[in-house]
Amino acid sequence: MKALCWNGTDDLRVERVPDPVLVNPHDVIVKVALSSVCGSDLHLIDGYVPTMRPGDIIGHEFLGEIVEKGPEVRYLNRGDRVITVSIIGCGHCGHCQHGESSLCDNSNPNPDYARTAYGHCGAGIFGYSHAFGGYAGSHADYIRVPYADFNAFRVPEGVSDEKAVFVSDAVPTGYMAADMAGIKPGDMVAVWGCGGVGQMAIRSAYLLGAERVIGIDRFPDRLRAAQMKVGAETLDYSRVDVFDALQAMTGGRGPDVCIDAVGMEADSASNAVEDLYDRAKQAVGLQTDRPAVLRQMIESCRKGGTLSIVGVYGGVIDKFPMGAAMNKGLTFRMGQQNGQRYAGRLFEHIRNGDLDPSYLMTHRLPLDDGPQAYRMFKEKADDCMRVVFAPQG
Amino acid sequence: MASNSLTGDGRWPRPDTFGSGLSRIGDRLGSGEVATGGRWLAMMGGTALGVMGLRRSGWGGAMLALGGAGLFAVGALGLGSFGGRPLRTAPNPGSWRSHGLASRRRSLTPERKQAVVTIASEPGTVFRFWRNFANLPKLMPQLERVDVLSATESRWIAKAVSGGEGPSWRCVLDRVDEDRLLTWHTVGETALPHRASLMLSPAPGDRGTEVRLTLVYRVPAGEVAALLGVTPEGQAEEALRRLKQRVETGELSTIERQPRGDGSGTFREATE
Repeated sequence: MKALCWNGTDDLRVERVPDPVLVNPHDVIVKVALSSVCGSDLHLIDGYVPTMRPGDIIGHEFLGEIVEKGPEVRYLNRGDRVITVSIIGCGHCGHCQHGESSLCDNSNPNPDYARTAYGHCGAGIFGYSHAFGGYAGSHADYIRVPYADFNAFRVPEGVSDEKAVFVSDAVPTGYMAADMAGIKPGDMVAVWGCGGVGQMAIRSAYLLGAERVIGIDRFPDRLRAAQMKVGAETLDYSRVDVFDALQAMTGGRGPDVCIDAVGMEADSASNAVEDLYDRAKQAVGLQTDRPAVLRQMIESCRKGGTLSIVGVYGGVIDKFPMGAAMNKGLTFRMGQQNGQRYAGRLFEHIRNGDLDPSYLMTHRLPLDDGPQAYRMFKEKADDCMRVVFAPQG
Repeated sequence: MASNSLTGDGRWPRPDTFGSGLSRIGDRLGSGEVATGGRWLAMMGGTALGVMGLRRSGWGGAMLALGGAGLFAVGALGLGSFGGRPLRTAPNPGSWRSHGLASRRRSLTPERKQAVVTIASEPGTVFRFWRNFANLPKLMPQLERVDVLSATESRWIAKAVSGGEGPSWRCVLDRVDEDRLLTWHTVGETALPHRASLMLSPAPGDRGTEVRLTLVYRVPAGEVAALLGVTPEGQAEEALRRLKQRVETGELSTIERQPRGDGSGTFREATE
C-alpha cells in the first residue's frame, strides 16, 4: 500500500509499504477514506519530537471502513464506517474506565521512553513517535486499529465523512479544552490559536455556556473563520498587545478561562525579544518547547481563573512565571484528548446542527501530494486550515 | 513498567517485614546517607573557611581560602573518609554496591529487585493467573517453558541467549497464602540461584490490586543478564507490565509486524 512516511526533519516521502495485518484479537483493519493533517504533526516534521524513526508512517485523525476484524471484536463489523480516536485506550485499565483514556496504562507498547522522560507513560497515539508507542499512522491506504471496540466509533447515518473525520481528534480536543475548564454561563473565554483545534474550542465554549469567546491568532483567514464560522471576537496578536486588549474587553478582570490551542512552537510576534530568547534557548537545547502562549495566558487570565492547555508540549520550558500563577490563584487543566468519552456527544451535536467542523477541511488532496501538502499547511499558504488526504481518491 | 509502577533495591526482608520502616531504615543506613551527611558538613565548612579567607588579606587569607576550597572539594567529590560517590548521585538504596568499599560486599549481598504495579482487577484473578506457573512464559519472554511437576515443584527452562541450551532450574513453593502471597525459591544446582515473592493487596478506593514482585538473585545482575538476556530489574518490570495487560485486556499491546517505510520506495519524494 501507499503511505506517507517520516524520514527525518522536513523529510516526508510517499512510499510503498506492506499492508497492515491483524495482530491481536481485538484489532480491526480500516481502509482509510479520509486522513487529516494536524498541527501537532508539525512538531514531528520540525524535529521537536525525539523518538521518531525513519520510515514511521504519520497521521492520526482519520475515517474509513472496517475491512477486517479480529476474533474478539464484539461491537463492530466489516463494512462499518468509523472514525477512530487518535489516542489509543485499552478500555479496561483504571484510567480508561474513568474517562481518561489518553492516560491509558496499557496501549503504549514502548513505555520506557515516556517513563524515563515523564515518570509514567501515557497512551499510545497513532503515528506520533515511539515515545507514544510507535503505532503506524493513518496517512496510508490501510491502518490497524488496536482495541477497536473501545477506540473506533460508527459514524451515525446522516453525518457526512467531511464532518465526521474531525471527531477523531480536532473536535474532541477543542471540546475537552472547554469542558475541563469548567466554563459557566456568563464566562468570558480567550482561545490562543485559531487552527482546527482552536476553532473547535471556540464553538465548544459557546456550547457549554460561555458568554463571549475571543480567538487570538495572526493569520487573517483563521481569524476570519473564527469570526464567521464559530462566532468569536478576534485579536490579531501581531497588531495589538494581547494583555491590554483582553483587559479592555473584559472590564479589566481578564478572561475567566484561557485556552492554549497552540503548544510548543508558539511564537511571540508581538514581542521580538521574547521570541528571540525562546528560539535561541530552544536551538541550543536549554528548553525544548517555547512557552510564549503560557506566559501570556498566565498574565492575562483573571485572578482565580482557569488555564486549559491542549496545545501539545513535549519537554521542558524556561522562564515559566510560577509566581504570577500561584499568587493569582490560577487553576491549570491540561492533557491529551480523551475522545472516547466525547465521541457520542459530539456526533449528537453534529446531527443536531450545533456543530459543523467540515469547514476545517480547506484542502482535499491525494496521498501522493503529502510532502507538498504539509509544506503548505506549515506555511499556512493558500489559506490552508487543514489538508485532508483521500487515499482512495 | 506501565504507569503507576516503580522499582526498588535493598535487602531482602522476611515476608512479615516487607516494606516495614525498620527494613527501609536499614537500607538507608547501608546506602551511605550517614557518610553523605559528613560530606555536606565538609562542604559547608569549606565554604565558611573560603569566605573567611577571601575576607582577609595576605598569605594567611589565601591559605584559608585554599584550605576551604580543598575541604569543599573533599565533600563534593566524596574523597577521603566522607564517602564514595559524588553528591550529584541521589541517595539510592542499593546503588552503593557498585562503589568503593561497598563493591567488595557485592558477592555476599543478594541482588534484590522489586517492581510494583496496580491492576484493575480482583486479587483472586491476578493470583490465579500467576499461581499457574505454566502461564509465566507469557509474562517472562526469556522463559521457554515452565513444567509444573507437582503441587509445589516446577521446572523452569529459559531460552538460550547465545546458542546452546538455556539455563534451567527447579523451584519449590514456600508459602501460598491464597490471593495474598506466593513465595518460591530454587533448589539444587543452578547457575541462577534465586528466590522470589508475589505479594497482592487491595488498592485503596476500589482501584484494584497492588502487585509487588520481588526477585532476589544470589548472583550479580550482570551474570543474570548474561544468562537470561535481561537484568533482574528488567525481568521484574516486564513481568508485571505483561501481567497487568494480560489480566486487564487479555492481550499484549504491540507494534510487531506493522508496516513502515524503508526510504527507498517507488513513491519517494522529499519535501526539500
